[in-house]
Amino acid sequence: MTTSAELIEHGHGPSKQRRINQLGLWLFFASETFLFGAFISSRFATTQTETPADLNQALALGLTIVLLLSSISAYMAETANAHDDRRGFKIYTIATILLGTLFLGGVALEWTEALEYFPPGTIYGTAFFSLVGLHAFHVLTGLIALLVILFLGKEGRFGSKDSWPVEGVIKYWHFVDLAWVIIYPTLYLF
Amino acid sequence: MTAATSTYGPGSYRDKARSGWITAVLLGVLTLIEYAVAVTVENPLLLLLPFVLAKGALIMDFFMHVRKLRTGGDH
Amino acid sequence: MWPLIRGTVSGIVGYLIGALLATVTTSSTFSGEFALVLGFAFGLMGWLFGIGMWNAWGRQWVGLPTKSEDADGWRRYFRFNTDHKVIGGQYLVTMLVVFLLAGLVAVAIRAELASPGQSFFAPDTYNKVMSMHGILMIAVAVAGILGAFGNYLVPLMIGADDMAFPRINALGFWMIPPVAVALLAAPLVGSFNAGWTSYPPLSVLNADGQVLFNVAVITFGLSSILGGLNIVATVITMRAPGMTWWKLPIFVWAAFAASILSLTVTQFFAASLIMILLDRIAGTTWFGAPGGGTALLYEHVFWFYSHPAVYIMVLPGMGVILEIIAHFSRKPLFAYKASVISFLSIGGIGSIVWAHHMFTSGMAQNLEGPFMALTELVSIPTGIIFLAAIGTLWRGKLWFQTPLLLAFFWIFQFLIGGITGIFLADFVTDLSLHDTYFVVAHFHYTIVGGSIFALMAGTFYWFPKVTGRMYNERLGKIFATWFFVFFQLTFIPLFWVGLNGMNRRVGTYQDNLGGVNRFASVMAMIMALGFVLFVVNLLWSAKRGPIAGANPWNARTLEWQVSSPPPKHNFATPPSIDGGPYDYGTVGAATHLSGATEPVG
Repeated sequence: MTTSAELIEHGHGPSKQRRINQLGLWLFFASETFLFGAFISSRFATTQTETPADLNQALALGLTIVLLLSSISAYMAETANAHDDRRGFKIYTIATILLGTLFLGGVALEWTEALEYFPPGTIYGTAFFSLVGLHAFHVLTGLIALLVILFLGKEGRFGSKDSWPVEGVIKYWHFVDLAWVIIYPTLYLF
Repeated sequence: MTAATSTYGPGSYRDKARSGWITAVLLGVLTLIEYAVAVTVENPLLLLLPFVLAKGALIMDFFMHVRKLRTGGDH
Repeated sequence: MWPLIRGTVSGIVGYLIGALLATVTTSSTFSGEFALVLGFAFGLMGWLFGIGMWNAWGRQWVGLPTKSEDADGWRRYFRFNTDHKVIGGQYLVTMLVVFLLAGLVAVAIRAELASPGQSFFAPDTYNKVMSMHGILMIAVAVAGILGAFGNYLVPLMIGADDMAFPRINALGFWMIPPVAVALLAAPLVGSFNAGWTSYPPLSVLNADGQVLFNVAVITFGLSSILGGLNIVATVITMRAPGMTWWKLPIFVWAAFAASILSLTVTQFFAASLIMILLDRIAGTTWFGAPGGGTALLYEHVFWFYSHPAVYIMVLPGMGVILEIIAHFSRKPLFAYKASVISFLSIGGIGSIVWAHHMFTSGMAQNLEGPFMALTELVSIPTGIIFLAAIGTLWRGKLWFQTPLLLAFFWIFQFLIGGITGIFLADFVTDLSLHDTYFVVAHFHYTIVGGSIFALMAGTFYWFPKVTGRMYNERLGKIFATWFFVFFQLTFIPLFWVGLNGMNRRVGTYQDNLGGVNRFASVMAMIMALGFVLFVVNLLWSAKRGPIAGANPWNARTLEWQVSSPPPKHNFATPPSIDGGPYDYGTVGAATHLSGATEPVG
């Protein structure tokens, strides 16, 4: 979110700026938790834990595993960057982007099926499309952010000396994964 | 394996990578058990909550370095 | 002016691209609802990038060096300027203009209500006018004190050079012009007539203007979230050396508590409005009974934000008033720590009382008792705030300037608002009072009393700091008294007509209430006229008023220890703090700012 320009502006050291950035990002997560919370609680308020029999459980489990894999590759990208491993950073960031794209493709496939069995006009479909759509939108923004750090970092400009942009984007990616950890059982398992 | 060994704390690149992969395997195993419980038990809500909490805690601690919030995560 | 033109052009281009995209990808027409939503989203991005976000921020996302958009002189107020004092000024002027505009709409409403029958507005038009008044005033109450004084004063009071995230701060402010444009353009596509609360099923079925209302208010909410995030992060991380938590001026605490609320619960308002958009555009059925949805869900999600929103409006008001009372009584603030704990617990308890708005909605009846009890629990911390105010005044050396006068009025009005609230929190009496003018009078006493009077008091109190010049004291006192007296004469009769069964949100009413309503209407118009005094006083004094000097009130808090107006980065050297902010007349008290001269007390 913030880099050298703001450091100079504020006139305090990088370690304090890093602390401010971290706090700001976590506050943003707290706020986002309330947005997801509103939709998750509305799902329970309208349909409790009811799920239609036509849910594609195998596909959903597959999507969950894909997102989990993207999480570890994101972690590896961040770790590689923090240790100035430029090649590792590049490979793992690309892997994360590919896995994220695969996830979105899976969601699209699932939606074509869902439109047939439980369209948005049904009450489960309402919760399903709203929640998955909200989450997919966050995945999409995360992908854009990952593309930005991949593009900016290809010359090795981040590394351990300016790791915050990478760290912030990867944290956001993990947060989106965390949201799925709760949305997945909410829609499919409970 | 504590938060101190993940990404920014002391410890080698290798250790940190390994702690990340162990976390991921744990998350995967938890997910599979969660799924197995959900398809075998009726009304599994209460049984599944511990899985959600455990997975959430693992992600927050090892992947998102939540404990670094207090110290600012300086190198 | 160049950034404004740039922003407007790229905003329009963005709108056209978005609307076109919607037309191409879906069956929506160019002026259809989906085109409005996508057009607004792209237009908003275009506007923000054009006004200066691209230069000051976006360029670094593609690896280019950023260019500062800051400027000097009056031009900086029309740019993507990151100085918190400029942004505070932008908020203050914008919100006062919106306040006067919404006040004119209120005069139109009172004109219609001056007689029992239908006189100026068709029933549907009346609802549109009333909805416009509602949402504009809500915006002023939410962003007035927090946006203006929160941004201007929090960094100064804690000894920081700026907010934690200056560019997010500028972004938050520049989101507001598109909100205003969307709300004011809504009449072009049928306007919105569902009130600021926008209950379905009406808000799912009415004209396309509702869509503009929704996207505008979601954007406003985002701006409010970013503002709250910034204040919380600033207070936690940017305090000067020695500025411990228990030495924070009380206004900083109030802004902090309100910001925690706006950071979190605002998302529920966004969620409820997104659900309406989904029901209208994507064909979901959150609130459609035929598909299995329920309109009651909306009320729960909506009030989960909109009740705490009352505290987002009022907590900063309490902070301003306690601040003024302490400085103008020349005494330490009474029960400082208890007040701080009260702010935080008002925020906490206030978040779990939302269903008291829904006693007549048909919600589960076993919830009514608990929500009544929790609601009445809020009066304990609120009472402590009153205690702090009165305890500070007690045997103080009162200096009766306009800010203190307005603070006295604030105490009176908020007391009336609080006491009448008990009858609405109690579900037995609420069953007959709900949706009557009793409610209207009650929340005008709390919101105008709690937030707008504090906004006025704060405007007078910090006017010399912001402009460097003193306002006209006599005119200020005349305005304050005028506003107060005619406010009572307008709204006390409305309690009575409410008790006699006059319904809100309708332009007509029973014939026998005509006389009292005509009286209230005339009084409301005279009250509105009084604002000429306010505007003239401020405009004239900003230009011609006597030079105020750095500390005309001899106050101890940090913002008065720098020149008026403060220099660009606030403090030449980072300040360090010794004493507390309110140790007036205490023998041997250290100065708040170490090395500063102790003001006469």
